[in-house]
Amino acid sequence: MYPKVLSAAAEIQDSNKFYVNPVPPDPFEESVHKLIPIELRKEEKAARYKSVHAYEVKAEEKKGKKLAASMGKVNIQPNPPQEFLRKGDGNVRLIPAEVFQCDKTILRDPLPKDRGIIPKPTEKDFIKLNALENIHSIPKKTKDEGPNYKEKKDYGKVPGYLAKRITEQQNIKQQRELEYSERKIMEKRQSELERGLVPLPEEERLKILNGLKNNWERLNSDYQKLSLTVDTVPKIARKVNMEQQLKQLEEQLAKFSNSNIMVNFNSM
Amino acid sequence: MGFQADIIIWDFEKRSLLRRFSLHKVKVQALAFSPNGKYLASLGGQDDNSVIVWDLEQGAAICGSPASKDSAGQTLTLAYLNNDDDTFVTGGNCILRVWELNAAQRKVRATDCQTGQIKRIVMCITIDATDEFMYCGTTTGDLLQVNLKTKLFKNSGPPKDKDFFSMGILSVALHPTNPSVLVGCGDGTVSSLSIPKLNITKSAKVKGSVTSLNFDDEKNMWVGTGYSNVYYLNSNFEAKLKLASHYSTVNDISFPDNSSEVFATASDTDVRIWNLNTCQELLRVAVPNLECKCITFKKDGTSLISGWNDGKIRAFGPQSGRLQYEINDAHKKCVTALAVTDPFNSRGEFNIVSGGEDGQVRVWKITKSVQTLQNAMKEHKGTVTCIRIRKNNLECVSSSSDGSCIIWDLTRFVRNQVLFAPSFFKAVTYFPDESQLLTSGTDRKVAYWEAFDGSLIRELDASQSDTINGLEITNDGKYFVIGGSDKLVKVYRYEEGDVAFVGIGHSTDITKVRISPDGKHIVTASQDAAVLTWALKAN
Repeated sequence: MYPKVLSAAAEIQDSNKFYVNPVPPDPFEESVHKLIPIELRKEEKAARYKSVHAYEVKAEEKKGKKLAASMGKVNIQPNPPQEFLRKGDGNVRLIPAEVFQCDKTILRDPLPKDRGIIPKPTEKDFIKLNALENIHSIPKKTKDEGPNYKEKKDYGKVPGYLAKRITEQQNIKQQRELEYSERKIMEKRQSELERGLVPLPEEERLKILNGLKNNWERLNSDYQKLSLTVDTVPKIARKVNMEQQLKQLEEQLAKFSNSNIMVNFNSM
Repeated sequence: MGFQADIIIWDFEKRSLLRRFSLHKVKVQALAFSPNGKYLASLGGQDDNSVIVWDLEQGAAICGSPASKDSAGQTLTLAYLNNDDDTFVTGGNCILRVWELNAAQRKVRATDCQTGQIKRIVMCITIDATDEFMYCGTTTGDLLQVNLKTKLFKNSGPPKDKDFFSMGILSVALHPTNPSVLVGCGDGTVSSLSIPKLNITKSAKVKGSVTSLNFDDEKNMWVGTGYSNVYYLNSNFEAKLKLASHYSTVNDISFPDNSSEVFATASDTDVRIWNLNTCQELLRVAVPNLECKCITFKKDGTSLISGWNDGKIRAFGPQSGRLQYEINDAHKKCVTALAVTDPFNSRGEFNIVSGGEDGQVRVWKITKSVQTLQNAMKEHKGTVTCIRIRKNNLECVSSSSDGSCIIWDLTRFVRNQVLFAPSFFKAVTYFPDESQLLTSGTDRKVAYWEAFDGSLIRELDASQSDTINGLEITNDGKYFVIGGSDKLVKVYRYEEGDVAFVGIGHSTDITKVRISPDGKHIVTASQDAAVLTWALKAN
């Protein structure tokens, strides 16, 4: 690596050999890429035209022709006067066209000797006849289309054998469910018995229920008869007490109105 | 201090080193060959204050002597006579001496020239062809004519005090045919003085102090100036600039997107655009007394955006160098890093992300007429040295000399990730697919980082001795290029992490490294104002 030492200022540039881009009037439009002066080159001219006949012309010139006599005499000898140009002389074909020659070796049948018979023209009106014929004709029968299944009795219905099967299946299912529920109840009762739960007999339940109803009615009538002014402490206490009892009775009534009541003897 | 300053004798034909003389300390002030090329006289600097005569055939010193008495001032210049191998002259602060060499006895003896009342600091001396007079340029701005035989002051010019050259005469040369002497001055004036009256006959002005004058042929001459300009001066004193370059530290290099033909460099007082192929300067934008710290192009190349040490961001038209807009107080002290996003609407409005010496990373919305601050992200505690933006413009990374690199979210303006290292980060760059980051800094290491979670993947000891200032990765991600204070340009293989190529050419710290967008060239810049281009032919 050898260093190249920088030198020379812009002033050194020879303006005749370089083109420097003109500086735009606005300094913001300047560009560093336009800074390098472009070296000027001479326009390259195309080679001078030289005729291919130049040598011939020169040679002819040397032969000693005079000025203003450049056309000179015609060197080609004309035809003799007897052979003047006639009509069609310019159209003579050098290669004559081929002439068709038919094969004369094949013989054909001789032509018939008697004249042919020409028939007389008819007076039939073909157009009219054709029209009439088509008008009076019977149209052709179409093909047989087969039975119409829509008109069947059981169209769109579940077939009998399937309906029968469905009802059978439903019966079986109901039977099974019934059995299952019964078994469930049995199992439940069994388990309750095992735990010491005994169903309350119906008459006893009704007896309790009636007793509770009586109690409730009595208490309710008392409650309804209370004074409207509840101003002293004993009165408030009494009212609250009655409300509580009523509420309790209502709860118990709701419980005993349920038919299925179990009594746990173990807890006693 | 105290180190030896070498004199190197080069074979000019073969460009190879012939001899190395080391006796002077700290600085060699001046050198002169004897007319027959047998001897070399050398003058040491202020700390050395010695004159040494060397035998070039033997390759050894013949003799040495203090350049001036302790009471006298510093000696600044030295010149050999044109016909005499044993005599040379030195000049300096109120001192003008003629030295006579006695090679056989290995001695030099000095004789002071008498200038009478005139006290001058002599900057340069030239001696006429017949060794009769010497002409000494002084800081006062006049030319002294001193007789070498009598060692007496003869004349000084220009005759009138008002004609004295401002900023002193720094270089002097005798015309090969005409009886006239040419002087180059500190203010850039080149003048011809007639002999013997030393009247000014012709004058020309160039940019920068004229540090050297040399005749190309009998009429035309080369003029070198302190601003690194070389002019060709014809007999009518019309100066034509022939060579130019930066004259101070080159702080940044930038290529326009997708263009490898031109690049811009930023330096003290000016920004220049160069043609990469011809190495010609195309444009120079000068802002006097300010230093450009960073530079970048708008993505479409229609604007040259630069950050300056007065805390301003300036945008220029890249063809004429006219100012497009200026963002005042972009940063508190100095704008040190710049990056641009793609335009986000059809009007070509875009964002600039800038970093400053105050450690802030600021996002600017740029429209043609108004430039507004969108957000200032204050997390860095040191100078922001480098900013890179992702291709999707949603994230950027900034490196700082506080030992951290921060990945910023450019929509919410918050920190996404932070990378820490015991180093002043100098450069950061994304791997082309933006999955990884590369950083370099004063810890002499190049580090690979995961861009997603900021974890360190790998560290390379890329330099044995010094800071790595410049870092750039090729577009295909196979190679990365570094340049640092060890003056070497190194091309590393990314995957293998080993050196593929080394470029030796810089003579001071490399400040920036860039790869052209087509990947065929590397451009490097250094503190001595050199910009070098390198051909990168990988494979």
